[in-house]
Amino acid sequence: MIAVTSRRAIARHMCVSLWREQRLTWVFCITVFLSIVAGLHGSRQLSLFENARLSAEKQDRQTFVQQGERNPHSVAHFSRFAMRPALAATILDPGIRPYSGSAVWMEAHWQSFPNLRQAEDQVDLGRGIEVSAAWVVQIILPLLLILLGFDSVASERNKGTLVLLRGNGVSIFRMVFAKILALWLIACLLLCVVLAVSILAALVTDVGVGVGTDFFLRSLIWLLVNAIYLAIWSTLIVGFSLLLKPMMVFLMLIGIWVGMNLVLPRASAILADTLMPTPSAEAFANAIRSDIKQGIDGHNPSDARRKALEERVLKQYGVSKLEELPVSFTGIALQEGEEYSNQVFDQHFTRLNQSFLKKERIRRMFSIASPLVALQPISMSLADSGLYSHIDFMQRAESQRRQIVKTLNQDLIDNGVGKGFEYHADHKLWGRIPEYKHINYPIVKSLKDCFIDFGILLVWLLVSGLVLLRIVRREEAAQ
Amino acid sequence: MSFFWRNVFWDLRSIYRSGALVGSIVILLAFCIMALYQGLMVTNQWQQQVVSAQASVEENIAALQKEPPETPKAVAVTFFMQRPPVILPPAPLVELATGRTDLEPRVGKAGAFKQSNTMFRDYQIEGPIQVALGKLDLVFVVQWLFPLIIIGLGFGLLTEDRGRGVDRLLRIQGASLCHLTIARLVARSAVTLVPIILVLIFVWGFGQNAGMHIAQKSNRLMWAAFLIFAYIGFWWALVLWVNTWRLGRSQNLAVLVLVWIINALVLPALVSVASRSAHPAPSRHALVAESRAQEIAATKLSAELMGGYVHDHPELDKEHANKLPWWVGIHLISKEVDSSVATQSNDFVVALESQQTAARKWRFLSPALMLYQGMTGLAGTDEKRFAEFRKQAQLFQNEYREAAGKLMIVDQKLDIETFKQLSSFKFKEPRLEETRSQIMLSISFLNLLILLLAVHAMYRLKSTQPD
Repeated sequence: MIAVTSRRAIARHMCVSLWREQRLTWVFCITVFLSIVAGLHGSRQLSLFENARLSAEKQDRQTFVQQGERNPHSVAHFSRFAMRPALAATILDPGIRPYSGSAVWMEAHWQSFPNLRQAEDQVDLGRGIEVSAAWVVQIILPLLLILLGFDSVASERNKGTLVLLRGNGVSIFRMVFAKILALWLIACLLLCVVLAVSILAALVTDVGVGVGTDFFLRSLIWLLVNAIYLAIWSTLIVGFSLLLKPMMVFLMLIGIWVGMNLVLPRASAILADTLMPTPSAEAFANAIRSDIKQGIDGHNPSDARRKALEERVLKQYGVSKLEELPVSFTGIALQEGEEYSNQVFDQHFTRLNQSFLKKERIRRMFSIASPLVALQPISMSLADSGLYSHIDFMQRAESQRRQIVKTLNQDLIDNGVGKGFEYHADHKLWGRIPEYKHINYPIVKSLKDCFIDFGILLVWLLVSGLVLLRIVRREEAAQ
Repeated sequence: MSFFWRNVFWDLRSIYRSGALVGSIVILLAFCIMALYQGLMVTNQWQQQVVSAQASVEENIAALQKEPPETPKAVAVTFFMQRPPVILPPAPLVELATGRTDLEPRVGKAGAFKQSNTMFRDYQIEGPIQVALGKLDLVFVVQWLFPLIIIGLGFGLLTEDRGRGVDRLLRIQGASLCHLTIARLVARSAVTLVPIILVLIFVWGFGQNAGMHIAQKSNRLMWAAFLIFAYIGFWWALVLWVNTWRLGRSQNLAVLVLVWIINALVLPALVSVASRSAHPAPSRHALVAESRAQEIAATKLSAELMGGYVHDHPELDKEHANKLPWWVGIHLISKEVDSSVATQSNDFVVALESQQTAARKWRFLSPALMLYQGMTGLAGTDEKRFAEFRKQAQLFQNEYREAAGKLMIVDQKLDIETFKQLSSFKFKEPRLEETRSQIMLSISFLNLLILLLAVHAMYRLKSTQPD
């Protein structure tokens, strides 16, 4: 009971001292200011993006349905765009969204990359300065915590109150624990402020971005993982403060912050690029084209594969000439070409996505040296702005593309007999083409993808706690 | 040896003994080497891309030589299949600052049937996380890490002596505190300048030339060096100025770190938000939807478009004009769509330019911003060079489409020479003058700040000199 009381008293004393020194006031003001900027900016970006996407989708649907009579294959080339909606949770962490493309052209014969990257139309003043809730919590808050806590134990030592506390029966362990608790509680309070502002910003965003149970659940888990991250920082700060003089603590912690938050994430990218180089867009497209060339083209009647297909189809329908077929051979050939290309796309895109994931694994190795590297994928996944949900969008758009092209080719097969590319379908067929309905990447899957990162974060907390405990025991023994 | 130089060496010896000299140089050199490696990696990737795109031009020509198109249809098929690449050569000094390299297209494809807004559909495929995180390039090292080393070396510049009473001792011996301080500054700033000078020499001697004359490269590097020195100078002046406040060492440290946070992190982030919010770009989704709507509208009017073309080209013989093939329609539709959405497409250019202009105006708030913008400008990896590339590429696309269209429609024979001439795009490097004048302004502003801080610091040093 006494232990609990003394812990509380020390923690309260630390908070009150920081408040009286006005350090806490400043830190609080800076956090609130940056949170408001992040919230307003995030809300505005989200609102602009979603409004434009919704109205573009509507206009495009109208254009598609009202395009008049056309050959289904021309329409397969015109096709549709799959536009990825933004969730309200992106306010928390825009992640890779501005850099990864938000729409896929689902045209015939070709699997496109996501296009329309927001970052292309924005002035670039350097990366890593994108104001968002994640930026405030993950980059700025640790710095502010360093300013608050770098002298937490050392100042007690300097003032001689450490001896006084020991004399009153307060162990170093209890004091250190209380200091960590105080710092962490302050951090959590600031974290809550950032989150509350972000939630408010999401609520006032004037488009239906889905502020519902899913959003609140994502926010809650985001709060928890960030609280763990801040607990690691609180432990580190107080731990160093126990070991060294205030100035050295400050220098060391700033060095650690720079290393962990600025240098390591970028250095990890260098290593990932070196070990797992990505092909250039041309090389990638050329490799696909060359693989497709080996198969049936659909447009190339002299192709040997087309001959084989002809024979197969004639045999299937028991006729001797293409003209006698009850279906359109042009349509069959086109669909056959699609089926072959799809295999090629699957092969190349799977390899490419695997290389992205391998890069991510290489990057993850650096989380041993920096908890931020482990936290970032979790934070992005929870905000639906991570790599996995991006790959999921690409895959969903591709499966939609195949469905659209297949439906159009099937119509050509059934109704284009003897007319080939002269056959024209009308709005009834265009109306049957399904809309791209984006299904959000489920939160359970997001958490599953980041299971290891979550584990690493907990190991960080555990190890930093254990190391600190060992130091405390040594200090106690020394005194 | 004079008193001044004795002090310089004495200070160098003392920081050597404390390990700070070797530590700082090793850290800075390590980061500079890493940054150079990153820069060279980007340069190589870019170079490879250019080579591969140029190879596709050769392939196109070889294919044409093998099967020269004889009929108008064959000419049309040739123009449909062969889309000449528009290539942006590697930026002049990409080793220094990678900037927007991973955001912007470096190769596009023109086409006789292509709409301008689909020229750059095939993006660079980089890991999206790597793009979001940014590169560890030289400008990052200088902008973010150099000031921290400077703070580490200089936060106790005067307070070390004050604490031990050495300043009074020196005063008794008749030594000037100003001279002593300047000597120390010279010694410590040399530590930060050596690695950067070595890096610049390396880039000058061993970096890629990107088709530049050595004089042009030297000119760019010289301005980069001036800018970096001014930035480093600003930090040393700030360190000196804060040291004259007569605060404790830890207080000095806290103040300097706070300034660093505001300068390198907070202000650039706020300027970025402000410039984007003040000049938001229109929506690419809206542009896509509008182009597609225009495409359908033009398709519906395809016959009229062809009629209009015949009307505008009385040189076409009548028989030919009455039987224009269907692909002429597609060609004309692409032109029609481009002209319909020209204003909307231009809005993106205007928005980005306005954002850039705003950011350029607000750069004076933060020396880190001045450095970043200046370095990316000199390196050729800022918005300006890429915007120029897009502009020139679009111009080329229009010319190519027009010329190819004429060849297809008037039923001319397509020979290799004509095709080579038609499909060769050469990027004209934008002039450095404007960038240079911006950099000169930044350097002058930084030098003014250095002067003000130094003069005030010297004044304070003299006025607070112990008796």
